[in-house]
Amino acid sequence: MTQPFAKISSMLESARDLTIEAAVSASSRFAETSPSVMGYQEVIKLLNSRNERDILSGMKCVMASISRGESSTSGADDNGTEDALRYFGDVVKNITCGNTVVKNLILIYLTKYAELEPDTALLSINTIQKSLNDKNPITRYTSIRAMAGIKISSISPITLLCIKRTVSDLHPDVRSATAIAIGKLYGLEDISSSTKKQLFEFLTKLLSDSNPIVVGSALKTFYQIKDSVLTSSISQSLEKKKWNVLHASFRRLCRLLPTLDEWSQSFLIDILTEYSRLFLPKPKIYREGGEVSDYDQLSAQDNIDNYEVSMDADLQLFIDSLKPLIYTNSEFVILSISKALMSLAPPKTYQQMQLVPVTIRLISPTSNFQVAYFALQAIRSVVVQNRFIYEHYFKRFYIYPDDLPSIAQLKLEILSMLANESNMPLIFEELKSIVFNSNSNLIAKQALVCIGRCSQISDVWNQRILKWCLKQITKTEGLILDELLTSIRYLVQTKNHTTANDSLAKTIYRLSLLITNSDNKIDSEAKASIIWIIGEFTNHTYNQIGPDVLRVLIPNFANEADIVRYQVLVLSAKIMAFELEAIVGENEIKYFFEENIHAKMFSHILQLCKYDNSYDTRDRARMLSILLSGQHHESKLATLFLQVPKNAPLIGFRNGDGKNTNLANSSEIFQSYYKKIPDWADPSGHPAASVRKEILSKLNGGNENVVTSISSQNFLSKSQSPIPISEHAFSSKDFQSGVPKITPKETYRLQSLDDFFGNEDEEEEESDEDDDEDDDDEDEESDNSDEIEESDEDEDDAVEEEDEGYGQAEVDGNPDEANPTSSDSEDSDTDSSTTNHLLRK
Amino acid sequence: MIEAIYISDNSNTLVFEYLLKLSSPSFKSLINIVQSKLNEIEGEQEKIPLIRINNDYYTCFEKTRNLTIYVLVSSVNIKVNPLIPYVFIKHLLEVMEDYFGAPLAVTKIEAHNDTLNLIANELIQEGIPNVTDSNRLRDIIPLKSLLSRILSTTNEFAERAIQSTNGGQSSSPSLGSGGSGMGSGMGSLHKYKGTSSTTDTPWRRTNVKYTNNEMFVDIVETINVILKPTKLKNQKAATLSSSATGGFDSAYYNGGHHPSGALSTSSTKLLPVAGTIDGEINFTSHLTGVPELQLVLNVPSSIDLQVPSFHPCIKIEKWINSGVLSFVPADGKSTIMQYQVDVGAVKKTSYSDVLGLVDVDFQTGLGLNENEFEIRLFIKQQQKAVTKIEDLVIKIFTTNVQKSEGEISVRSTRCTHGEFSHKGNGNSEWNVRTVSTGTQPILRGVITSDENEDDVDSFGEQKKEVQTDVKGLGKTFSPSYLKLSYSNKGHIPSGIKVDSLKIISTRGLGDTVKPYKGVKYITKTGEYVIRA
Repeated sequence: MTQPFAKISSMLESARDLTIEAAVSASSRFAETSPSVMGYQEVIKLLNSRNERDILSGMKCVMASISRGESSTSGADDNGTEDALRYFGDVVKNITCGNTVVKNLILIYLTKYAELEPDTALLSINTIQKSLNDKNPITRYTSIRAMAGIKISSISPITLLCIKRTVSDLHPDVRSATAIAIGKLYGLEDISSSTKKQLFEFLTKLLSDSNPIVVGSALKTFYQIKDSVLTSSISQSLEKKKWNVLHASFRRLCRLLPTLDEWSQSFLIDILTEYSRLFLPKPKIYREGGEVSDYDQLSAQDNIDNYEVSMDADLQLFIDSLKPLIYTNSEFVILSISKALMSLAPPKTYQQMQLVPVTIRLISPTSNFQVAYFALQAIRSVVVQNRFIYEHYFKRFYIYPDDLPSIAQLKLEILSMLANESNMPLIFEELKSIVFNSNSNLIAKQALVCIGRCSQISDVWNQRILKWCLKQITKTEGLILDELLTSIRYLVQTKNHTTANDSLAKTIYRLSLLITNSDNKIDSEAKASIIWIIGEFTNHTYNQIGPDVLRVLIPNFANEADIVRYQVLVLSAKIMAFELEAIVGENEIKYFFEENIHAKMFSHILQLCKYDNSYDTRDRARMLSILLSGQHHESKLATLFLQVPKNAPLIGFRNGDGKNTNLANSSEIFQSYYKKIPDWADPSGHPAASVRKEILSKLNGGNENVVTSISSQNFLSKSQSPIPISEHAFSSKDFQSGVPKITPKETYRLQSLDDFFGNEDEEEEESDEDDDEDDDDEDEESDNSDEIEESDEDEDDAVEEEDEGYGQAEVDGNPDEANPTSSDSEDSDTDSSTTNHLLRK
Repeated sequence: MIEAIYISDNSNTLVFEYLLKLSSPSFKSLINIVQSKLNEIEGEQEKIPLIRINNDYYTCFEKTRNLTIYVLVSSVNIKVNPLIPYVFIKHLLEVMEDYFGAPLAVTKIEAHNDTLNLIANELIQEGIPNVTDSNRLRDIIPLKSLLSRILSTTNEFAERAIQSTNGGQSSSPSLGSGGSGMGSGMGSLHKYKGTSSTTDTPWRRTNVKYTNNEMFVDIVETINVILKPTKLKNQKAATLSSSATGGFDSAYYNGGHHPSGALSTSSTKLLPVAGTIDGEINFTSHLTGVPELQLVLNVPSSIDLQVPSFHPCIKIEKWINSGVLSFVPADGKSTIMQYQVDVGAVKKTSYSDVLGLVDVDFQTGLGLNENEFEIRLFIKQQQKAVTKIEDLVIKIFTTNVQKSEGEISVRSTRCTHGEFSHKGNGNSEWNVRTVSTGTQPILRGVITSDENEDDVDSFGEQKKEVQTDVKGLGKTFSPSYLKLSYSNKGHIPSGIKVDSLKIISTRGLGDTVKPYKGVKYITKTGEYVIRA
């Protein structure tokens, strides 16, 4: 019985889905016509209508004209902005509209254009401010954000007040919007530094919020603020101090990391990485021999099995907190983790964290191009530092036929770095098959470059690869042949000439066979390169091979291509120079020029070159004929510049290469993120580790700088009693006086530095708007009751200061249980007070 | 930080732009630079991950079927993670599909301009992605279509009525408040949903209700592998192939079919050079309330899942400790887990299990001129659940021919299933389409170069000349590699199975409700490459 029933209901459900679908498309078709056709007057009319629906469609038209960036349709010469501004007054006046959609659209409009029409925009402020008292948290949430988004500096004090209120809103979403608002207000141009300090205090409070969503938003704001450039000199002192916000929350943030959303996770990791560089000592490594050193003194050759790592407890805490995150499904979080580990710890930690398989998973052909690209970039950066950790996985960097050239290039680059004696046979096989089977010449070329680079692993491989390259010359053409010859030149030049002279001679001999064997059909460019190589190394073969090649080439000289003819000339000159070198006496030179076959060949070539098509060849022939005419000093000069050792060709992966500038840019953008990290700060400048002690006691430490630097005028004008300058002095004094219970009034003063502002603000607020008085008073009371607890804990801490480690560990262990009463009671207090307030309203 | 979002159609006409600052450049001033950069790489098979506009700005873009989405990023002060713009676009697309319906089109964007503005305003605040989860967004911005709203509200009414008769959940708001919401205009209709859920399970809305509770697990695996013929000593080959065919259904095996014989006699065997199996587990949840589920997977001992990635809803500690997926699912479809199996790390004896249901035998250098090749496919009949292989296509690439050797063409001389076509440029395609398991499609083809095609076509004495000719060039034409693609349902190469899917706690679901459970296994191929 139930089954047919279920069937029917499922049918109904699918029917409903269908109808919704239909409704969506129907409404889209309906709406499609309206906004674009509407003229200016009609829109104004709609906006001034009393009907909410009309206002909504009016707003839609306005938004549509903005988001379409149209200017041409509205005629005349005004651009999009002016077009949108025409409606300003009519839009803003609707701010009182009850419809949330209309209201939100207006707020978006307002935050964007308010700075252009500040006077009109001010009219709306009051309404927005009022809506901060709305019952619906979403209204409060959008309002505070919009409030701060209105870029008019004259309202910033009001905004600050609003922020102050919403910082302790009951609803997490409102608090998280407050965090965003703080960022917006901070970004305004002419904000006084005292305001900025206050904003930092609010941010600190939000960073220690109990709700991860709020903490996440606060982190995003902090991330944004931390790098924003501050201009005024006062602000620059603030610059250094802004990190103080984090001291107190460091350990808590580490623990919260897994609970945040993906964006906040990535930002937090970046923030804490930077923090660790600034405030934590470098990790040390203990080598097998008992040698201790800083981790960054590891060379790329240090195998990860040879050392142990030891880290500062806080750094370890941060790194451990990253462990669960390797399971994340957000690729950019993995990128952040990889950055953090590379900049904070030795490669061994990177491996222990299992980041190797995680990053490798990202480069699979099924993952998106961009993900694979940046993952490969990250892997490359790691491999440059230490190749051992990826060595085992070299097969994962094999190229699939459909890999894009940019991906293939990175893979090849990594492969060439991972190559060693044991895996080289496999890698070589793989590279060979890419050279011949790849769809793209570009990739084939890269593979050849890669083969060239692999030759560096040993002389044996150099020889083996060279042999292979020589074999391929007749089988290839075009781009690949060019690259092959570059590789050969590279291989020959990078050979160890003292030990491998024999094999060098063999290579040259083999090359000469290629030229002399008339059956081979070689590209003229390739031929020219080969002739160059033979000439260049003619003295390594004691001039045994070159002349023979020259002899074969002369008869066909006229039929060769330009470049080949030119190279033949150069070859003959080099042979001449070598021979001249050996001759000393005047007579012998004369005899040499008359009788020696080398000299005869040279003069013959010169003769031929006189009538060459290419003026370059003709010029060069004239020059060489003078240089090598037998005058002693001139022939020395000739030898010098003909046989000067040339640099081995740059056989790298040329990023900057013409067409690839776009990729070079992308890679640069990556590097600017991945490598941009402050240097390790001098450990002597670090604050004591106790600044990171958890929550309340630490809040003092964190705020200390901010608080003490607050203008002393406030003190003077308001002080009821002489107050010591720093809060530390306070707490210690209280401790010394041994007062176990502090009266509310005194605690009030204890925290007074924070509260002075609160006080002042509240007084201002009182004068501004009497409505809020009750509310604020109540807030204050609840604040006070909270502060008693805080100061109590202060004392506890003071007692335990001696063996901080233990006391701290306790707090660390279960922070939520450590002060559940305080936070809970606070919550419920404010809770009830606000509800009272609402009721009263 | 992100400065602007632009949506254009595929001919670069602006459809929607959202500028975060007044000073942000408009699409018009940007598109020319972007286009010129894209033109630079035209023709090459290449993509650019990020396009740099100038020193301070770069953009990231993503093309969909009808739309192109650009995100402009400023890197003046803040060096932002370079993957963030891309992931942001991904989220934007998801959200738009969620709100406007699946195939996104220009008209939909234009019609929902206002909603999109609101969405963009939530997605991004001060240049930083804010709320990007579509479930959370729906709490803030209601789905606005009038008709659909009425439909959903009536549905809610109906459900409430049902629940009240069942003595249902206390959490549902009373009828009265819902009614007044309707009366007081559209604005007040979107009631704010409970706060507790946003912290425990930010990916799930609280008031999810279904009349028909069901949940589906789809495990999709993609094979990416490079196979290469490896010469084996005869004895070894025999043992290997017998172990490979060991998994065959015995009745089939004894039936005297060719494949097993063919396998054991051939002295070369295709072995993986490198490869991975990329798996993902998709979960579709249509469940009322906030249920907690437990999914137990049976992973064969030869399979190493390495470090999988999980949807935030998965409790990672449970996975680490007991290998069990324990989670409160997001509403609708979500990918809860992604994993990768390294084919190279799998024991040699189980290679053929891991490589899916299609075995390939590929031989080149056949025939008198050594320019023929033969592809034999053995469709394993491993499981009763699998009856057919779908979309089976084999592409044959002949890239190892130099230009000087002329245009080559590929013809088939024998083709048992499907059809063969030459695509030019040395590429050809054998489209087998759907084939049932247990069959053995065969293709035999010839590759000829146009320079001596005439000779080859006319048989007789000339043929010998051709042969010497070809030999003289030192070249016999043969395909350089094959690319295999297919899909099948009912079996996945890793052999992972769902052991059980239990509902552990049924908050808001009711203990008596027994949701429908479905499991599906799908195999696909990504880069399945067979080298000659």
